[in-house]
Amino acid sequence: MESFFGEFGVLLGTLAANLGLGFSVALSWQNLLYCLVGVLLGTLIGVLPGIGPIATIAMLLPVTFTLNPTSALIMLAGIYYGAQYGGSTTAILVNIPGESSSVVTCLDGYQMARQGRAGPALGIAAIGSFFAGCVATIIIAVAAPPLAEVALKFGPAEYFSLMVLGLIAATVLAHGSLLKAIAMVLLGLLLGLVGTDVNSGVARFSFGVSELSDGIGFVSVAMGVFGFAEIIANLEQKEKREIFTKKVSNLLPSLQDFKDSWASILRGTALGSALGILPGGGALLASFAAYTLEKKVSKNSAMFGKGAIQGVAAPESANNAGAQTSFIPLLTLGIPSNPVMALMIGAMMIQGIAPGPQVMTERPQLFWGMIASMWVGNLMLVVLNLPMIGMWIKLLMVPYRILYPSILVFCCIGVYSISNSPFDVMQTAAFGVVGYIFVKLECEPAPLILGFILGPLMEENLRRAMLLSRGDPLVFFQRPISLAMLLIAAFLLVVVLAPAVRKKREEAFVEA
Amino acid sequence: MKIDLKITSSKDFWAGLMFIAFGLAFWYIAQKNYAMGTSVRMGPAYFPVVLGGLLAALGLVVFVQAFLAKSSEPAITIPFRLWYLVAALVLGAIAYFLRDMRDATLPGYTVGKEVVHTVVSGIAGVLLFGAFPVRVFPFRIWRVIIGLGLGGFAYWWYTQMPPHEANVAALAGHTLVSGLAVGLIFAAFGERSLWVVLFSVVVFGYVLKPLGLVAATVLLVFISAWGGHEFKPKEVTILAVALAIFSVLSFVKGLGLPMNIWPGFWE
Repeated sequence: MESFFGEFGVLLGTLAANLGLGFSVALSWQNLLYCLVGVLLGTLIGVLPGIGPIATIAMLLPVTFTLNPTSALIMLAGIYYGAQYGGSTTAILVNIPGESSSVVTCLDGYQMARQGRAGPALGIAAIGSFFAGCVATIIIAVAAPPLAEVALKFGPAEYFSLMVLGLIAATVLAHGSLLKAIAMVLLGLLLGLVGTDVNSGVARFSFGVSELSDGIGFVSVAMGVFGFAEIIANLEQKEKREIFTKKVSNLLPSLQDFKDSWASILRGTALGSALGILPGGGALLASFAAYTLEKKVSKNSAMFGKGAIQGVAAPESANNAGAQTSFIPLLTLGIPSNPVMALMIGAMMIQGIAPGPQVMTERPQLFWGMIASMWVGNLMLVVLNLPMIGMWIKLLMVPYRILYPSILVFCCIGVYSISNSPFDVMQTAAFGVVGYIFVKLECEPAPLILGFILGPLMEENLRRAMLLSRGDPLVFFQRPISLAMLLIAAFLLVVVLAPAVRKKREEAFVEA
Repeated sequence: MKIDLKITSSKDFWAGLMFIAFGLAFWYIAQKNYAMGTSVRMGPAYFPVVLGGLLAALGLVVFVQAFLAKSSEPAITIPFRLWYLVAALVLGAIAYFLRDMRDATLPGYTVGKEVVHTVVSGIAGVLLFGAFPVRVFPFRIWRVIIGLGLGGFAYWWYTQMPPHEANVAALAGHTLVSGLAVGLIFAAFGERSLWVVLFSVVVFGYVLKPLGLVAATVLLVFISAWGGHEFKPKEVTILAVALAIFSVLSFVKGLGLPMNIWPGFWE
């Protein structure tokens, strides 16, 4: 017992020391500034429907060239969780999700606004998000080091199996057809292979285009498939936006509101944190799951959809928690769990950092600085955003016909500046076409992006594992960790393909 | 012989075809051009061949599902003409085995032989599409085909052009062709706003270097705004000017991105 407390004490000590280092980095004026820029930008694009964190981060990637790695990652991370705060504002006031992860917030948030309770809805969303952000930051700080330690023992076989598991999980959790999602993963893996093969030096699938021998630009794929395709799809629909014009007053929820929602915030945070860690998880899934859970748990579930404050508190806490804990697989294993994290990998590679478990030991300042900045950023969001809601509402009045050319300009400049050539712009336009076709054919692009970023890594680890085992594919089943991961992947597939679950899964996504 | 095929999900139908096409393309290119290697030392073709095969197989499943899945969508019935398909396949096979006719390096080559070969393959292609009456396609297939052809031409032209050289005439011509290709493909889907947006992006990419950031931004804003539902000249002008000023100040002056602000020949 004593030794347990002793060890616990040591752990707590290192944790405190690590966080201390983190805060010393995060609180430097420069990093504070980039954190602020990140969360403000995140809130901005969160508020605005039609542009999400993926396109924004892709847009800013080239700009981060000029920054130091820590500041760059702090800013980009701020965009992702900042967007979760902003998304709720639009959902509550306009009944349009500013972010896909705020879709469920519309259900009760807008009803609350119609009942004249927009203020408390916005307030509880911000408070819930802040609480979730704090908890998630601590979870990352506690869980990341041991996970990274495990990951350091991984050989190529383990890495390969881990990626298989990650990709399978991502397809299982994506909505829509499972088969199509897996096909999209495969397509992504193949697209990721375009370019010079590291082992043989052969330029694969480059068709003699010199720009393609470095591979297809990741930013182009992400921006084309998510940014351009989204704009085009938005333009297809006639614009109709009904903004809640009544002045939003009294942001502080009442005591009764707190009593009603504290348990939901706790549940949302817990669920969101757990789902964020899972491969394929993140903010979107977390918010859907939290809303469904609240409805199940609540004594008067009839209130849901009619302005129940729990229906705002839980998903908003969950999406922020999920957004943050999804950094865990990235920081410890070097494996992205969703497209935003895939972009973060891109950002790290631009800076010459190989993502993986060694980041924590080799660059403790970057690692802990980023974690500490998340807490700082959350604080900024809560302190700054509530007073600024009036300004965000004004921004919402900006019609889309003005917004989208502006978005296009920034996207194009961003893409062009990657290598200062028109080629990247053309490439992005081409992926805009592809992305639009994906939308029309109901093929989810998220698994494609994950596959794209993992393609070369997977091939590399497969080659190494097979070389070490002298061509014996059984190696993936003989090493226990690798076997376990493959079994989980197989289990996930079997479960989802089972007719009963399949029906439930489809229902769940329809309901959500 | 006419068979009625019922497609219950046209989205799966096309998605399946798309996956099959991608899978086969990767598989074919990889196994033809690169070394397979062994499972111990995998060559550059190994992984793509396996993945391409898997993708094509999955695509086939999705494709077949399009005919089997129960769906609330109104079923599309294709009066499928089997004989057209058979004839197309036979002609295609003949064309494949006689492909040496096109090879100018072989003895006995004449232009006439190549023309005959092209006509035969062309007929095979037409028959293939004729097996499914064109109206079941959710878009205007010919525009796509012409668009893809132009796109291929633009690509070929691109490989011929000396890289990074601001030959305004060639750039303008190439912009026009690529824009037209993109435009046609998009026009095939019916919506003007779609292809206008992408066209504006292509134009931006081409004119940025020779004409500078201000002109490129203004062009991008004007063309893309034209693709929206309403176009208000005054508003768009203000927006274009504001965005041009903002991007010059923040990207060129602030972040120091190396871009021309004004046309190169002015400076």
